[in-house]
Amino acid sequence: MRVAVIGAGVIGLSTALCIHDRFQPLVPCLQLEVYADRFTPHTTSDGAAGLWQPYLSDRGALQETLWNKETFDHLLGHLGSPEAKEMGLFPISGYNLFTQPVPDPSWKNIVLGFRSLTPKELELFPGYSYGWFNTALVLECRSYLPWLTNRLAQRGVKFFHRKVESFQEMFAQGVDVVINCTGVRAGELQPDPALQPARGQVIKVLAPWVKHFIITHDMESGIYNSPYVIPGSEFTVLGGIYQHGNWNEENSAQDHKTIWEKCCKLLPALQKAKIVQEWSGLRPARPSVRLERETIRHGHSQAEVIHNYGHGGFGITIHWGCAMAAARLFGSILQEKQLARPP
Amino acid sequence: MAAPKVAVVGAGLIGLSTALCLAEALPSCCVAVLSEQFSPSTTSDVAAGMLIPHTYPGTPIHVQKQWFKETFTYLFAISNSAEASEAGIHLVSGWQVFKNPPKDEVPFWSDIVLGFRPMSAAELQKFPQHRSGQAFTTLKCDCPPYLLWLEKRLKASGVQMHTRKVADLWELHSEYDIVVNCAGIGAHQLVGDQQLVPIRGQVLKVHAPWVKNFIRDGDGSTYIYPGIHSVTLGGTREKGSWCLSPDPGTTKDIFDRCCSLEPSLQQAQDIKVKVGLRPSRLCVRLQREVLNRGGAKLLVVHNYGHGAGGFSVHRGTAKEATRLVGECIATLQGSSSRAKL
Repeated sequence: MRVAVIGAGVIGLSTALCIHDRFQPLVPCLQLEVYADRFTPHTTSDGAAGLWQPYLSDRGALQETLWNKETFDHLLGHLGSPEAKEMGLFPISGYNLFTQPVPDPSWKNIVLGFRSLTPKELELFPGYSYGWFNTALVLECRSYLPWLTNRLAQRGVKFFHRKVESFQEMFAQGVDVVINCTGVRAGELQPDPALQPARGQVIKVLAPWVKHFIITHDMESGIYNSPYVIPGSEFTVLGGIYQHGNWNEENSAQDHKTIWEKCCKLLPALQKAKIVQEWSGLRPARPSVRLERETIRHGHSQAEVIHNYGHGGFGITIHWGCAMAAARLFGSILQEKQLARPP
Repeated sequence: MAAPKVAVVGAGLIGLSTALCLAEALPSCCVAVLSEQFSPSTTSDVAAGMLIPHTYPGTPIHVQKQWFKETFTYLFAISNSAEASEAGIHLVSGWQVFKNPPKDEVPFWSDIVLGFRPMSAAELQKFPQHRSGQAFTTLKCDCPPYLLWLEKRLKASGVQMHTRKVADLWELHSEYDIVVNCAGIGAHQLVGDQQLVPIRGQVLKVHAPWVKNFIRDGDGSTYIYPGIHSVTLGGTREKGSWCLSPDPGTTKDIFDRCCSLEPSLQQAQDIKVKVGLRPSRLCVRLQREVLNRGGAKLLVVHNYGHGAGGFSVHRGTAKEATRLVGECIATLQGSSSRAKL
């Protein structure tokens, strides 16, 4: 049974690993392949700061809240292991800031030590009158994706560096199941008007004295269009750009100015930070994640596609829950083909 | 009378911060700092510089709380300014965890640090050997950066700095009107204070930049303090030991204890070992003294004996020492006007 995962960002690689580890023991003939035109460090995931934090509102998608929790708990379980550093995983505390009181988020009991900010803490952030403090996690993809890749390679998973033009192309070469983790460009394989790019730009700086993440929110300008500062293991990421419908992957001087000025106003100490890199990427934005099976006619037979894309600006936050859900869908395909008994 | 000449002996945290307070509050004085050692070779350079107070048995709690509050407020303002990175001052959050219930469930400084609260059950899961804990956000003063920043501010204020070993305070009486004794552990020899004892501390400074939170065992023996360029792992408290050489067995023991609190430290690189002698006393010696020899006088203000708590109270004790210097100046002016009559 040949399974092709298309896409080698955090979604593609984690889904591949999840499927392999769960089903390879049951289905010895399982052959997993990963196809992508971009691998780490050139994927969308690589540009993300890697902070685990869902959007403020769960958009009514309770399943997504559950997948977020599964991801957090899975990562938390890895914290004490010797793998954590290699994975790019570490705990971090920090602040979410608002100009008015807001209801607590769906994830308040998922993160650690969630509480409102005290008046003295708010003195640090003039212009903001309300906020939260909590401890969450950072998962840096420039370490996590190579870690996933190594694990997959050790398990004999093959990688192919090429652009897949259609699902049919895969089926024609004998692939039985396609896992579609193509992120923002999923529309090229199958039109999906609900999927839009949400362009982001970030500045990476050297500011090792910053030990907290700081995410500001402007309820009018929308998520991630307000400055944020997220420390990594080596660099600190400054951001605050979210442009719906913009496909441009080039850095913009205007956006640079916006990010720099707003972040320095938020944290005056950043004025002395050395700029190391600038990066732009396209969040695969969708009203909800597309995580479902689709049966596609291929000649006289049927082939299966499992879609797993549209994770917007919370791909790292939700990735493991989605990988497990995709693996469950794969399990039901195996059952139907009578290749695996139900557990 | 001519501008009073004040010598500050000692160029660690206490000496430099006291000299800066003097320069700010008493601009008419001529202030100089005299020390055998300067950063990076002072006791202060070894310390992590965390603002978590040590309790002095001999000082009323309300006084210690006032010193801590003054220090915290002063550094908080710097941490929130463009100078923060140069001064080495930054906020850090973390946990103090206890195997056994602490003596003070709510320490005297809990309302001065930020966001102090008991740890949740979920947070404690990360520390299976510990049964309770406190979470809070405080400040850290990285040295050498903070000391170098103080030196820079002092030079800008016209304060001279001299590398000089002072063997006896009296040797300064012909050049200076007032001496401020911030000699730290050096006061044991300099003024023969038998109540001042070293409490030896060995620490490791390691490269582990993914560690963003501090962790401290409430018994004070084991701690992990992330700084700007390194993480300080500690430590020891060896009362009465004057030994400044690192001990390899102790290094391994500190490393093991810290890894048991934070397993990812196994991957730490570039381990450097440092030793400092905390200048410990039941209370900080903050008082005036008049040295008399053969009719000649030297006015002294002592400001030493901060033990394990120097960083937490330094600005508060510097201001108190400055007030005492002000009293000395009033005395000098009083005698000089009497002399004119």
